[in-house]
Amino acid sequence: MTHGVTQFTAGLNYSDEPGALNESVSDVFGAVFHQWRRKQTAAQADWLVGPGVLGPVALQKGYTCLRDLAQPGSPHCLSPQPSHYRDYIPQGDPHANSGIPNHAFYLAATTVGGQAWEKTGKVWYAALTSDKARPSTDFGEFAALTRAAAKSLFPRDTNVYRGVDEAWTRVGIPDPDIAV
Amino acid sequence: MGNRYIIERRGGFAGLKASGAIDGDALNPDDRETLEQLLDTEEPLAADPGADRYTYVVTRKTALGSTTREIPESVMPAAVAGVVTPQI
Repeated sequence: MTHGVTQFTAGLNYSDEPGALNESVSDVFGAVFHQWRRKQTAAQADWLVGPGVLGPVALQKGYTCLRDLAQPGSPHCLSPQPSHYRDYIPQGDPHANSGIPNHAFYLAATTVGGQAWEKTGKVWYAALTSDKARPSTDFGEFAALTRAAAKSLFPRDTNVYRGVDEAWTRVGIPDPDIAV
Repeated sequence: MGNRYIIERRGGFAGLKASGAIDGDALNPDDRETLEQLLDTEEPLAADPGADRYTYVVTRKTALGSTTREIPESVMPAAVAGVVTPQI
């Protein structure tokens, strides 16, 4: 369903990094919705995508999910993904490379703490619906939009910006304006 | 040696890969003709719009070599698409 939101907001192209972001925001808001329904905090959530849609063959083989935002490369899911930008798959399927921004959201949400829709979810939504978001927006540009949104939405809660910033840095997308 | 088609499917809701292969002789003549036209057309085959659509990467192997093309699900003959099985 979030694909529809993306289509009428950022309009992220469905290839390369924009495509991976397109897939990622769907996974992110899907995960957040499940947490909202169960009234879970980010720490309590399982961060799994698709545990309820696996067929009998997959279940018999021991798979428990399609994707995992907490451990994108875990073999317990049908689609292990990269979780760091150094492992980005050139010309890869959007469902593969979405593991990188997926993991960034997980890291941000669990670092910020509380219920993911309260702060980190709002940051991500603000980035997706920003007038600066474009169909060609790549990982670095989206990360910058979330960093900016964290500051503007929660100017007095510096933990939000710090959590978002560190999350992207940990998945290999540091703030380019910060000298190393 | 007749034509043999190696097919890999990408995309879809789950993003799972699926693959299969079939000899040209095993295809319905109409489906084979459609597939051949898709492989040989000089017209670009644009990806289907929207998310979670399938793309089929088809490689035709003949005695003279091979040809590979990405074919969107909307134009892929159903019988050919049905050759693939998910890699679970």
